Amino acid sequence: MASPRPRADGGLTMADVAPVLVAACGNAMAGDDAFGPAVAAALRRESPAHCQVIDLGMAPTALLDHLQGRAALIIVDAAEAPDAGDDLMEFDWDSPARPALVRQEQLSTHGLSIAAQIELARAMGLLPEVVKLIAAPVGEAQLGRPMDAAARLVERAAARVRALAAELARASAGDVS
Amino acid sequence: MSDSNKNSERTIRVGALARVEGEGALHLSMRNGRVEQVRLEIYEPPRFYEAFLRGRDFREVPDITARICGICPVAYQMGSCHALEKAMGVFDQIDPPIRTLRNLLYCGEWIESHILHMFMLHLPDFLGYESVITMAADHGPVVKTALKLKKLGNEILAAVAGRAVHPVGVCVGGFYKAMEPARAQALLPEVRSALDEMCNLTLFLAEKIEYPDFERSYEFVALCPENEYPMNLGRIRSNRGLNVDQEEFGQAIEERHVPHSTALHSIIKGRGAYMVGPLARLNLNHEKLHPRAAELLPKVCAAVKRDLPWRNNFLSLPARALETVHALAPAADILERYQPPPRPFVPITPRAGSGGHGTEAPRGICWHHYRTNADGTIASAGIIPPTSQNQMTIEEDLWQLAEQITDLADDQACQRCEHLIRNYDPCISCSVHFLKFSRSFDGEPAPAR
Repeated sequence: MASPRPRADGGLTMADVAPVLVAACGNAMAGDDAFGPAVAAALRRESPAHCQVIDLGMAPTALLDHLQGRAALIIVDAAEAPDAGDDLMEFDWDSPARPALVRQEQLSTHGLSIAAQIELARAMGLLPEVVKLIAAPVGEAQLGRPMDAAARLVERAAARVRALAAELARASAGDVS
Repeated sequence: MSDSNKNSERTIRVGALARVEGEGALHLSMRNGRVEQVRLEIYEPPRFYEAFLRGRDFREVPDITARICGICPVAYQMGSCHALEKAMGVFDQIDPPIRTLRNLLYCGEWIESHILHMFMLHLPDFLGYESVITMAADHGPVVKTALKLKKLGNEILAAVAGRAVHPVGVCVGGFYKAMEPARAQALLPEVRSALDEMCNLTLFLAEKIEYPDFERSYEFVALCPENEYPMNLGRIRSNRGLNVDQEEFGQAIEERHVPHSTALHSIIKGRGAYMVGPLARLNLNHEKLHPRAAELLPKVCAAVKRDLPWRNNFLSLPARALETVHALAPAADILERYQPPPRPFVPITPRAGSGGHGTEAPRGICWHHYRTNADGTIASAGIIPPTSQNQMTIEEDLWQLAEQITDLADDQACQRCEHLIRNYDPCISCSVHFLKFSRSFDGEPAPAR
């Protein structure tokens, strides 16, 4: 994906960036916390249209590098929801029912968490209008363990991201400046 | 991360209890206004990686260690590469153009990490904001410039090593593929522009911040190469006479388990606590700064009213700023002259061996040691990150601070302690409020852990 080019006023046009950004987060070496990176890998095997997929791994601070000019952001991550059963979860990011991400405030060592990144983006006027979370519920994510319950949800999550990205891209198509 | 052996089952047993939650717990015990005890716990991710590196092929180590830290993957990769190149007997064969490319990669990491820490984690403390989010409302242009510079650091990482997040292009012996000259030329204008902006920001940080008065006597430890500011190479020295080859550093220090903490404390044998990081590097190597950074140094010293050596680690903020100018300047020089190396990596024949090497992570020396088996698998791994090396120094700082904050309420006292700890940029400072803080007075029992 080429880097977006600035307008004369310094902003970016929707024509220069994919309208939907999918940002996957998680530690590929920590059990079900590998859910995000696994979904990113599945998406790369069959890339969704109108969509850029980035695997932030354990460095969510890179999220802010990619937000400008987007119509929508989809976060893919593991979520702290041990009582939520084993089904895929989907929330608006600002929904009060949204569960916390695994180690939400501690995922990034001496960096900024995804939640803080999103709030900073909002404060800087960079946050897309639509922000969604697609998450696998996990009980714990222990370092050195392979994925367990979340592994069964990877392909379903990738399919849902593709469908959601297409919906969001169609919805934004009328807003291209 | 995919297992290179896709068809075999693998059981990984971690001997130590895998404590993966990043917790910072601090307890101060006070009696009659004096500090009796400081207990600080900081999470140390490398401990668990050492265990599952055993048995892995040496070529997997850079990819595995890159995941120890999301902000400083290059530091772990460079430490592992240099140490394993010693184990494999090719350290002296690494071509100078490969070393130059490694320096450029490290410049990218310093830029990204220092900018993130200075403007998004540390500066809010100094300006009295709860976080960068509330600071952005009043200082939008500064935060916007910082985000742009941070992104540039990541672009340098991606250009040199394929990806900013967990770079994939680094291998033992060099790089899987060398950067194309066109990418270097594309980055150059932005790096030059960023250099000018960072010079201005450095003066802003020096002139507009009132730094707390907090001086102590420290033993500063850093790489000290002969002719360049330290990143990848150099003997390890201190201001109190430490002067050792890289291989010997592991013997010069001792890691201790202390009863009150699960984190190991590093001390210099026969002496005690020491400091690694930007203040140590600057104090020991300032005469080797790039001229663009060197010309700022007297202005910064005048603004903060302190000549070097600085003994106040709140001045790590302007120290990082000077280092960011330094990282941008040689990055521009390298990009301007860039030609791909004749070979991107040195071929390696696996052998049994051992090697130790440290490089200057943004937070300080990150030292690795590996022993390899004849087939190139890892027999043992040891990683000493900057956080554990600074742990005892941080506690000693807190000891001194604790007596100054006796009259503050717990929430204010906690904020002061967090601010001090953030001087060191350890592995827990990402959260705005990361400390589980408690105090007990005059013999009260400490809360259960």
